[in-house]
Amino acid sequence: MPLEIENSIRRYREEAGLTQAELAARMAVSRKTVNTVENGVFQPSVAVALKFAAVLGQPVEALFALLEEEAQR
Amino acid sequence: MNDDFEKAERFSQGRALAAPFLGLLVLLAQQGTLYVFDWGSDSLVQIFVWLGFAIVMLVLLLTGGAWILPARVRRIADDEVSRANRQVAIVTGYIVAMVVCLLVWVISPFEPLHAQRAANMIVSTSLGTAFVAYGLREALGNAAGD
Repeated sequence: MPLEIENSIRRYREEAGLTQAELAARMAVSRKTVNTVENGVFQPSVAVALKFAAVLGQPVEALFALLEEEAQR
Repeated sequence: MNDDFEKAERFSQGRALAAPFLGLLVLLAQQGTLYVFDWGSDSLVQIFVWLGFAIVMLVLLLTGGAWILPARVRRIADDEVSRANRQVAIVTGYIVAMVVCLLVWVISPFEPLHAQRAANMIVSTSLGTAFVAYGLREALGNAAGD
């Protein structure tokens, strides 16, 4: 299924001074999850998106956004 | 970083490495490279050893393993990306099973196959490709990053 969202996870993670592994450990998910979401390979569930937001201290909307073509449909 | 996370990461990376080899092992066994079956034999050893092996492989694929690890470690190692990869692998195995079934349908009037051999071909190719697919997807997810 093609991805419908883009994300700013890497930017906020690097601002927080965290490695992917450190972020994953705080979220209680695997580093693979952080890596694949960050690189746009995997579209996370609402639960994981909320975990990203909680750990990075940002609203979900700051981390994830609909792709422009999806938003215009 | 917490101990549970590190244990889960080690298990996850080990699983990504092992899965393709398990898949190849199943495919090689089916080819008779490692063991030659006596099709139609009523040997209980042959019947139940392969049956047990296939069931263990199937349950491994369906659950992701980590049976003896603590629940929290298992939850991290079996998170949604891992479950999604496993679903794709299972679908891949299903499609391969269907293709092999169709081939058996077409070929068997001309080259009769013992039912046991046909079942072995279908299950082995299906499980083998599913494991290879799972391992590759897990390895790709683990690759790169920091």
